[in-house]
Amino acid sequence: MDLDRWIEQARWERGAGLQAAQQRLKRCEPLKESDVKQLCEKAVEILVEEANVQRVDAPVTICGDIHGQFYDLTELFKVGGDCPQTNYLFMGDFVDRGFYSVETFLLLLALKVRYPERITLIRGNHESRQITQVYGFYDECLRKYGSANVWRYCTDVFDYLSLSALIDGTIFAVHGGLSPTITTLDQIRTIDRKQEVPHDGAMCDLLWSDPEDGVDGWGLSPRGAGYLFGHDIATQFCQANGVELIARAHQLVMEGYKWMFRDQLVTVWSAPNYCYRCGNVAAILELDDGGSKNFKVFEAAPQEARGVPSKKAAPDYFL
Amino acid sequence: MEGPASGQQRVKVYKLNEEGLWDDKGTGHVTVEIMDQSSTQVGLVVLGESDHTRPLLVHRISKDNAYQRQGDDTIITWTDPEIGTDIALSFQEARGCNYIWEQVLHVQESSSPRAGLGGVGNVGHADAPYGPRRLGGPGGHLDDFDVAEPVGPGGRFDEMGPLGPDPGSSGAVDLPEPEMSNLKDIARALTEVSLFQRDRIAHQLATRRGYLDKLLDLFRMSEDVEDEESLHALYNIFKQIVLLNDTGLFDLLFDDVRVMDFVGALEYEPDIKPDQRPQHRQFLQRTAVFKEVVPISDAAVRSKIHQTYRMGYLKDGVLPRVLDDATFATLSSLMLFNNIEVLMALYQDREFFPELFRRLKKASPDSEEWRDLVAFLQELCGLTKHLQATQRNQLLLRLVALGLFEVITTIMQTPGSQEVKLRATDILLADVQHDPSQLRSYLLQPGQGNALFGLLIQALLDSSESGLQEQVLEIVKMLLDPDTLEGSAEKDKFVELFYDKHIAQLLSALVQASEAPYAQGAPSANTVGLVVDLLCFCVVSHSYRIKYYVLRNNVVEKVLKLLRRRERWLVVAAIRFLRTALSLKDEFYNRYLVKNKLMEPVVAAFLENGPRYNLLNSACLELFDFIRKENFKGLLADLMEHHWEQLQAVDYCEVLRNMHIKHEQNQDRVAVGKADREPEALQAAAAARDAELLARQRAAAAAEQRRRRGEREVDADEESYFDQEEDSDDDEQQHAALGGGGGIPAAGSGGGRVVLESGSPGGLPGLLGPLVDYGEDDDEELPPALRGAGTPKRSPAADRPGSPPLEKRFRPASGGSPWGPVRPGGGRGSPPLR
Repeated sequence: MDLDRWIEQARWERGAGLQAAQQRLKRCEPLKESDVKQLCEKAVEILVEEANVQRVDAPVTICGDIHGQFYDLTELFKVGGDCPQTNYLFMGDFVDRGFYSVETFLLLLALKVRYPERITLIRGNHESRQITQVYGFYDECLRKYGSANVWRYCTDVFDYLSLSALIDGTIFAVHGGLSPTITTLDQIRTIDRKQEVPHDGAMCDLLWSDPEDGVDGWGLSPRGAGYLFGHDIATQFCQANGVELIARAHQLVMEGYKWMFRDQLVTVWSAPNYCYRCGNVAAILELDDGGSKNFKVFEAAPQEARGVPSKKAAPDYFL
Repeated sequence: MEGPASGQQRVKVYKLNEEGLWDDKGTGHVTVEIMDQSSTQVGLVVLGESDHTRPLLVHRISKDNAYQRQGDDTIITWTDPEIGTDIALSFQEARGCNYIWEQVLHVQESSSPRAGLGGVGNVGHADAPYGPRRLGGPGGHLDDFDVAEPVGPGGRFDEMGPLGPDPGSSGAVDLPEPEMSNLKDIARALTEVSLFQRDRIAHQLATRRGYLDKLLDLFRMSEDVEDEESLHALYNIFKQIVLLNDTGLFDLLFDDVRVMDFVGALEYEPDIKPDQRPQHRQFLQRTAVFKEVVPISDAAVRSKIHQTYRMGYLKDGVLPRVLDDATFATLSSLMLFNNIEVLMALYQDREFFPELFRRLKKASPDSEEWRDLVAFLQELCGLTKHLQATQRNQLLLRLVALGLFEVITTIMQTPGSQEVKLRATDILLADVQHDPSQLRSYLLQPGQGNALFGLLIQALLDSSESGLQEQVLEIVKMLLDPDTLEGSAEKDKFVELFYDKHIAQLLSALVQASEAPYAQGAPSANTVGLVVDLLCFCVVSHSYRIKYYVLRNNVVEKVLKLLRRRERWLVVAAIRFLRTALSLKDEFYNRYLVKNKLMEPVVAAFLENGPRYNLLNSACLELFDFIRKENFKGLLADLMEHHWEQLQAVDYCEVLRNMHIKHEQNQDRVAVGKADREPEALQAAAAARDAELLARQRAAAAAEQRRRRGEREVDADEESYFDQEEDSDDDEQQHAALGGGGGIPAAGSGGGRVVLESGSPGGLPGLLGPLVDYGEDDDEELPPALRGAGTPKRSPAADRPGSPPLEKRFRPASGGSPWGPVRPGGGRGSPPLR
């Protein structure tokens, strides 16, 4: 499998005229099932070496939920710069909801395998067998490949994804939020993350919790998993761990990003016009090596750039 | 009293007063009505039960209002700009609430052409940070665990009773005549059609003589003369017709005589340039090929099959971005019903299935015909998932009786043909997912049955890129699953057969993989990973059988040899096997590990990895910490007495030091105990405990079984209930006290944490209790759903106590009507699974 070629093909439309794009689309065969298997095996070899709190150095660009919006992901790369020229940290929820979860996750994974030092992927609550069976990724795999095998390979990779990242020792990045069982970053170290996202406990909370204004301490989450945590909890956590900022995703914010808790926490959301109908803009957070922060806001990829939605239905049918 | 239909919309009206309390304004029935004949203004009207002449509430539905669903989906709230306060409608039934909610959304949608498809997305205030997420309820709710119920045909408005006072008077609109010059007007009329006109318009389209056909004529004419403008209008017309979401119209449009023109019109999306236009008709007519591997005698069935395929194509290929949830759901369920009809028609056809199997047995393996037949069978079996259990059972039994498993055996015996084998195992999977006992019984039969079992195990071990192994692994797991084994006649025999005949093959692959890992013909790393996975499954599922197998065959030792593999993920898998065995909390395993010095290679692997913070490091630390938390004394002693010298150098975390402390405490206790008790008594106690442990292990295994499925916490409780050792609580507390008091330096910083961990495996009820005391608010508190979650800016006021919850207060008025139980908050619980 020629990874470079495939990555290039997967980003086919960028910079190319529509005419040329059309041509390349025709040439761009989706990854074969056996290639997916290989790619996933390679990814596991890399991910198994990563930490539950993966160390990342600035400069890096932090991104939130993508949710299978492949064309908007290419828009993101247009705004933020290509990997590997730009370093990226994606805070989970690559799949479900959108129509191109397979392409989205495989492109990110291919970039990870090709440039392991340049891109960091951490796990979101949607990187789970249970959730993807309800919210679309499973069905998409079945539709596009005719069997659940690609889904199996991908969900196996999910189990190896890191749970969080620490940028320059001062920014803690996680998909959901904090957990009442985690007061220090060290405690995250003793989680054996290679498992389906549990229904509770530290690993679950990191992927499911939400910050909430007006809550003191911990509150029940309406999501049924994880907790709501207040300003005081965020402050305690930051002080205990020498962290200046908690960056997380997990919640749709109409403006693409949102500060909370006196700038101790920021939500970054990178799926513009979520579910193709929410009308929100998306954002990414650029950190330069001096530590300064710059948000870039972007909108959904124009209809034209999406090309023609390609029908993947089996041309032969019996029933 | 009231009929059931009117009861659905029975509501209590609440108004937020100046003190932030909810005032009860009375009980009545809510309807959605046109506010005045001349305009399209639509509103909610609540007529009181006691006084029918004066409405309790009149509210104009506006697209600028943020309506919210709360409280188990029985409450709708909003801030009414006309009176400047918050209003809440608390419904007697969720169904009534759904009904009104849907209507409100549709009114909002139709009053704002840009409102998007789900409606909800645009409701959000600019100052509502999480706009859409906060708005609950079906109809576009985007939050996890709250899956929007698809509004299928059953939820369409025409089946929900009359709309408003008189549908006839609700701004009736007639579509312009289907003329070329009217196309734009028709498109506009369809785009602007309001909620109350939808059914009427759909009815018109379906019944006005030749209306649809005339439109399709116009399409053909426009296409002939390449009249782009008309074609674009026609695209919009047919798109809007689809979005009317009317099953009658779908029937007409997908009729063989119309479908190609209909799909053709949908090729002309105005935004897409001519050279990029999709060619749907070409795909349906030329690319898509219907393969009738066995002649279907009934023309109606054939036509249903075509229709279903085309619906799927429209849904996934033509309009995926345009369809709203309701239309998407309607199309899906139409396809589903079609499929069920087709399956049952084929099942009832006396000739069809026998002919299918006659051909399957006759066709020469690896011929084109054979491959098609198998592919057909795969599709057929896949579709049985949608049947009701009894129908599914009948149909699958029929296939089995006709020789399904024999056919599969032949396929698995045929060399090569990975693709067909993949299909064959997919067929088995569909059967096994329904009921594994049929396949189990077959596999128990000498001859072909036994052969298939062997072939499956062989396929599991046969490295390939095809995904066959993974699929077979799933089949084998389902066959061995204690949940489906329980109560089945073949249970013991089948498990016995697996342990007598087949597991040895898995083990020898393992041995091969660790003795000559990278030699020619050695199993691939992927294969080894699958074997370890299956062994973990067995340890959890068959505690008794696998235990003796493990002990007799030194399985742990063999698995741990994998620690020397260079693939780190396999090393981690080996650690996981050990951890799985320990999770049974079975002293037999623990002693076995000590006796055979099996912690030694683990410690070696851990130390060799160094301070590198990777998955191996975390998995080992979690394992050590688990041993400490469970206080497996023998293992602790083994680790501390033989490895402490090396391990104490690990200074980057507390886990190992905490182990050491625990071990020393155990030592002290033993010293005290020895002084007090006779050695014989000690031995007797140990023997008794072993016996007890043996009796308990089934329960623990069952708990573990559930844990494996993700219900971790419940089982943690259950396990600790079963496995409590008298002194374990003491230990934890003592430890915590020591740590907190700084009595032992090493525990200093970890002290608080230990209390947290040991205190409540159930997730800190102690900490949470006072914050969210939903349980106690029966009489005095605000409705939980309204509290703190009202209109965002209001929430501090709403937090004040004083009013009873809406649901509760409703009760007396209803006079014991069977309303559902009150549950705090909404949408909690497990995610729904398909």
